[in-house]
Amino acid sequence: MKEGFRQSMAWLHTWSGLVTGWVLFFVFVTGTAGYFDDEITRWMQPEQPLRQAPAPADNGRLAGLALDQLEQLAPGAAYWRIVLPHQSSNPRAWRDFAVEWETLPEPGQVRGRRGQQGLDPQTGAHREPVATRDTGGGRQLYRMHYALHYIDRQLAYYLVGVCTMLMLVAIVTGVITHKKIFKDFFTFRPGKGQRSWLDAHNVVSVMALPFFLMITYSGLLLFATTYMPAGVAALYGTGPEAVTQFFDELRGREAAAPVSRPRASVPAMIARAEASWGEGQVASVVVRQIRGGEPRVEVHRVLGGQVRFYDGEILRFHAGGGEPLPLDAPASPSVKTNETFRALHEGLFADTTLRWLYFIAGLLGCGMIGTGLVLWTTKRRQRQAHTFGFRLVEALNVATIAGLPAGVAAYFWANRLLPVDFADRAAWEVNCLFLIWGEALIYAYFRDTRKAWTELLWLAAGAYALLPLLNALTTDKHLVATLAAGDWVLAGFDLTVLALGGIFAWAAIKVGRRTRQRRAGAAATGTGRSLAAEAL
Amino acid sequence: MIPDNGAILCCALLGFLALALAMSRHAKQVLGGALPAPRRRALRAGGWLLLVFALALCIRRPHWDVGLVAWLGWLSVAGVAVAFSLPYWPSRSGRS
Repeated sequence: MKEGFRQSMAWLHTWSGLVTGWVLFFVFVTGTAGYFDDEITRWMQPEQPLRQAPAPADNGRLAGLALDQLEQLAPGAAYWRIVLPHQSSNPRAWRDFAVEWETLPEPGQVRGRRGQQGLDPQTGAHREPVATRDTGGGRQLYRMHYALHYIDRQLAYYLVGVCTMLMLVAIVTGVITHKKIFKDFFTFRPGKGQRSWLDAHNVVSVMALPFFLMITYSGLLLFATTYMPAGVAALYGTGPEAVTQFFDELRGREAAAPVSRPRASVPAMIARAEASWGEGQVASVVVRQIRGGEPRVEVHRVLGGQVRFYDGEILRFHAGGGEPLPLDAPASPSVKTNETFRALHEGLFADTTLRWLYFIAGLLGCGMIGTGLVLWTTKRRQRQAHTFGFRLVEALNVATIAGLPAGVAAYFWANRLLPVDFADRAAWEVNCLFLIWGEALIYAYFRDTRKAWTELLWLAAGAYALLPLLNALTTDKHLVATLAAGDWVLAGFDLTVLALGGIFAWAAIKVGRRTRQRRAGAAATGTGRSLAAEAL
Repeated sequence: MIPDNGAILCCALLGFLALALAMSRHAKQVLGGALPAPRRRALRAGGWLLLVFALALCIRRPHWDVGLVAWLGWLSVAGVAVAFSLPYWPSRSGRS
């Protein structure tokens, strides 16, 4: 009975992992890149200046300039926001002096129109944003890990949701199937074919198991109301307005009254916040009024530090008298739990070191899925090598594990090579990714599998390793310049793709060597045994 | 920040290494033979202590919750590094 249970779990693990593996690999590759989405976006907008040492700003004076502008730009808006110059963590970038607002909704509308404008810190006049090429940036990669591409957003949510659910099943059944999880905790036996692949799959999966469980479960929670809409529908009804109402109530968003310039001194409020938080810690000032409530000014601290990222520190003042006002009651435990899972998933709270740990954990996820997919073929090669199903799985494996990373590199190549005035430029950057992935699939299907592995791995290696060179040839933000300027975001991108190129080259060399060994071995023994055994 | 992270990584690596050496399979790989029971127990205790010490280093920063996440991240990195390097360890038994 026990053996029967474990065997049925093993079956479930194998098949839930296989059918979702390629989608999940795509989700993990793009999601892992998403941990550096803002950094990637900066690299894909080489028109942006190199990092400059921020000039000290008198935030009180800036607030006055901003209010002058807001009175002109958005009288009677639902809220005004003054963005003070600061190092932001969402997006992870230096935020310049700017104003943002949302108008009151027009009759028949749920939301008003949003506007924003960069301001000159000297005069308060409108500051033109740097004109950049049309690009999807890192956001596009990030977005694809839950919304896919080319298909309806809602359908994509469901598809990714089903795959995520099956991944959770695969993780739990994998732990059950793994007979000696503690005894084999550190066990890796290289050079033993299928045995080595299983060891590698086990080690990677077990070592980063907390991350995999967290990322899968929280990924499902993020879309809980999409996957299980009945609760909201029963209480609020169906349709977009009902959903909006649900989220408004959940987030404590209330109907707004038109704002006007605060009579109390905003610079004094900022000074008070800076006195308790320190210089450079004030991110923004929001002026708003709930309908039927008092007019308020809220001073927001730069987000970050704690896991519950969005639960930032705020000081609230009466816009008329300037006296401090109490904050809203803390969120309910269920909202807090949900926010914590969301924060753990997105990792916005992570500093540079922790962000790299997230990135490595994401790569280990790619490793777990990749080794699992390869394992499926090494187990079945002897018996099924000639069947269509086997060929398809093998081609999908090569195309996805080696070809998809090459496709992501092609996305970056397209960013540098497509003319700046190319029509639908941002869309074509993404098209290039999928073109390479698709071509890799066709190539892998018709080519000898081992050759396809080596060749596509070399393609990925070259595509990543040569990116810094392409960058140097097409922009002035090359590695020497970015290193000299201490711009670690841009330099870090170039260095990371170089390292990725190195990893793919190492893999290609290893596969190639093993292929030659097998061939030599087969020739020496004179057996007609299939060469197509465990490649890596 | 960097010395701190270095110390955390070292503790995690050494902790996992000690736990691995307490297992006869890996002691054979690295040392050429299994260790006597008292030494194994000491290694196991020391390994766990090092992992706990790494946790202590992680959570003494202002936000313990962030430290906990970082600890798990470091453990993953260290665990993978130890497991994949054990077979390539220069072995005293002459077998790699």
